[in-house]
Amino acid sequence: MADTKNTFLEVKDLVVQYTSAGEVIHAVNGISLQLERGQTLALVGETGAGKTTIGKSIMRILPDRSASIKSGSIFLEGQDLLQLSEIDMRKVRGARISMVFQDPMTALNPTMKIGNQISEVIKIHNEVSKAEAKKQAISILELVGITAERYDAYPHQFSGGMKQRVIVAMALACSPELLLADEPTTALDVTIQAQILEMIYALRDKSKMAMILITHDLGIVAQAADTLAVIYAGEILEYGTKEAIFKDPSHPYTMGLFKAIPNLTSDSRRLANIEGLPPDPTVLPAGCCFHPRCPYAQEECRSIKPELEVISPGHDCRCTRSSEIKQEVANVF
Amino acid sequence: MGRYILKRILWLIPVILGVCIFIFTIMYFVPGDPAALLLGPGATAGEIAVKRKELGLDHSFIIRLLDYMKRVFLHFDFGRSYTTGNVITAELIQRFPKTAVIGFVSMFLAIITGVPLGINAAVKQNGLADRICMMLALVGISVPVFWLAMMMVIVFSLNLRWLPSSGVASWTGYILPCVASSFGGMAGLARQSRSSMLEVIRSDYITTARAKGLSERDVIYRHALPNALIPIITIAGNKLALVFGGSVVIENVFSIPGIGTYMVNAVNNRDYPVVQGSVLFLAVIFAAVMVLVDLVYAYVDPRIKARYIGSQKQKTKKRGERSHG
Amino acid sequence: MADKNAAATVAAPVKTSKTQSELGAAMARLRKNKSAMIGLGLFLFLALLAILAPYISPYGYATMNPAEKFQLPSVRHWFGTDEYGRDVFSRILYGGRYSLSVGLLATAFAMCVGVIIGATAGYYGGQIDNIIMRFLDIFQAIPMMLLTIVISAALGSGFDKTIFALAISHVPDFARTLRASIMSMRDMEYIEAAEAIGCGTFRQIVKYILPNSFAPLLVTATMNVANTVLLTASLSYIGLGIQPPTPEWGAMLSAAKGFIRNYPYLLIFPGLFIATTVLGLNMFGDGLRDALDPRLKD
Repeated sequence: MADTKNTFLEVKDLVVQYTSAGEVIHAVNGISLQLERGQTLALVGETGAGKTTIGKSIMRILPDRSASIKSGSIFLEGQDLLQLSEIDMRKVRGARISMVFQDPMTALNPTMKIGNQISEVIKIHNEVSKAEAKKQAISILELVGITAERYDAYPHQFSGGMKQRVIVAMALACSPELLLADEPTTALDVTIQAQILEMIYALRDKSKMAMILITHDLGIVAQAADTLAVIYAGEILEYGTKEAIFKDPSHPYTMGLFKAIPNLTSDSRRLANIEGLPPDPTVLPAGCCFHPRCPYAQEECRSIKPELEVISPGHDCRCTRSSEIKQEVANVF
Repeated sequence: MGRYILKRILWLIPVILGVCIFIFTIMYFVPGDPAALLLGPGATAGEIAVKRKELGLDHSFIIRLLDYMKRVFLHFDFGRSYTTGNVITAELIQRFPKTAVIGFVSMFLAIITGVPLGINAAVKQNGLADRICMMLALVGISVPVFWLAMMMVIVFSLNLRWLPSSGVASWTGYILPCVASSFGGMAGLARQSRSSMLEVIRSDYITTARAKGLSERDVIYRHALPNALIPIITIAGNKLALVFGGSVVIENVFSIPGIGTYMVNAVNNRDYPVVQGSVLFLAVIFAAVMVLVDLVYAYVDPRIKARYIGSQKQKTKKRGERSHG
Repeated sequence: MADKNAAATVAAPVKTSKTQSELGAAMARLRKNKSAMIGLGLFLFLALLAILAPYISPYGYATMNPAEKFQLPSVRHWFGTDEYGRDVFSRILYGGRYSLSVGLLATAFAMCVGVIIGATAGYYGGQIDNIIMRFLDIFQAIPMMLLTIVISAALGSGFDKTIFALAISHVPDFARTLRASIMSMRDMEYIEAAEAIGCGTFRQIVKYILPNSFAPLLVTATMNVANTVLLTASLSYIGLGIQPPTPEWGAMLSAAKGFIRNYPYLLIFPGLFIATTVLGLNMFGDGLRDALDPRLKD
């Protein structure tokens, strides 16, 4: 992917580690991403791949004591967020970049009225009176489908789906330029999922907001994303436009992910899956990080770490055997 | 909300009755014949029998129990002391203020020093002040309160001569007992405030607050603190039990004529009505204060407050409260 | 059917450094906790002194020597002598036997009874649970010190009676701990699964529930021993519990109180030993709690 000076968001070689009980957890190992204004990038991967850590690193809300951003840069319109002072970063959080979290049940302050939690973020970033902030909060609530009279309600009086609406309202209250949505519907019922997603897409389209959508659901990626990055063990294995990757998944892991989607029209006894488990982040494998689970792994995969290579315009892949593997697969069928 | 208040007060009644029955039953099984004890070794069987009838000891257990409950709850009559013959109720009322002052003042001291120290330690985690405070708090809950009190007497009364070593002739006599009594509660509250605060700081909604761009100060004081203080209310209430219990010993150290000394002397003199009455009296006061604490808690925690305003759920198990929100 | 999953290739086993069981991991964390180990060391040291008292104390605990009364600490009498000329150091050593054994025995007793009650309440739930909880509520409506005094007053003073009194007033603590443990596990899926495969009630309790309740019980037990040691001292101090000439530490303080003006040194050692014992137990108990639930630590 070409990186231009006008890129809205650029993450360069981000490395993030956690320390816990004396052990070092390599959560993010050299991630680079680009995002244009108004575009949606999906980060796809299994639980624990490092997707949430990337999101939190962009916001710089990683837990101080255990996490640290070891190296890399995050440019928002040319300005490196990692170099900003904490005070300046606070001006960015909530106003230019917002985040919607995964678990709506615990993301809201249980002892504060939801309306106040929204007007709070408005007041911090804008010079408005309390009354004005409340007015704006009410209009955002209505935008997400919550009536004004529920302004004074407490979080426990809402269902999961409604809570998530409140959280989305909170995130969008100051019209951010970038929204980080971390599996916003994973914790919700399937029927509610669709509603919430529709709402998020509509709000995004209205304000031409850029979005990073963290998900493990390829269906959502198909619906919402322009570009996607497949993340595994803190690295990007495949990166490109949605069309390119969906038409031509090139990394064995991506292929595995697509094959795992149940086919509605055929009648198979067992679902295909990827054998094994993600690696222990304290002891990452040598060579390609996916080799222990890769059915096509060879000697070189176990020792040489592959680079992210362009395999066609708008499509990168981190696998030295990618074209060979595609040949093999084509030959079988 | 009125429904909740009513519910809590109604709960109080069976508990108090239960406590009364419980204490009466324990005391009932004390070996020895009170009448014989009172009259001394020289009494004849006849005299003892007469005394027993006089004291109402010849009735069955149930009758005595019911009689006692009737007298206590309807007439506030705890009976008469075996040793002095004085009306117990009057003694209790006369002595209660001294016990109460020490109890409530030390609770107050414990809260206003312990809680801020604990919260501060949590916010500045692992800083030097944090470690020192928590170490002192550990010592504070390990030291026997009467020993600490006596040490303080040695220093402040006998050596420095600033404060009296016993009695409450003047208000200065209350200083040492209150301070000594507050230490255990202060240390305990510091430790538990710290855990409560730490747990809250780790919550998801604190991350949300930070993600909104709030200053760390706002995050701590507007989001973390109110949530951390709620469980501390209950904890403070529980510490009151320690203080009430400890008052018995503190009064002994400082020779304060409160309910504690009354009870201890009665125990040593086998004056069982006094023991019974004192414990029952203090237990009722304690239970009443706990109900008050619960009410404050319910008022402050919106999850409970809202439940009783137009809610459909009648019987929610206590555990259910914690999984809400 | 070309079933890839049936292929013999098993993925390379993922290497983990945590092959220990959860309990093992907790024990490892505990061992690393300096404060907890110091606390344990303190307690064990004092326990050792108590056990070896008959062998290491220079004098008997009741050996009176009026000519040498009220002596300050010296080479002959490390902690000095009391009002009867008895060696304080020896009395402290012997006193440890009473103070510590009362604490341990009372807690053990309370744990056994409390576990049974808590298990019944927790497992059967419903009405049985309700009734048991009401009883416990009444118990706990009385401040513990007062309750213990009442029971002690009824039973009388003395070693075994004090253990009994202390045990009774601590039963609710264990009952509640176990009940909470069981209730939280009862709803967990592996219990439902066990039931689904026909696992009987008793077997469920023994095989699944008890091992997992072990941890919070241990923490409660440690804190309880600390509490009982303090309570014993307090009881003895006010004239119940264990009385002189038995050298229980609290009783020694009670006697020393009379001499506070002229011989304050008599107050120092018994109190110091009580405090150190309880401190050690509390440090260990804290460490235990942190080790079993490490999230709360940092």
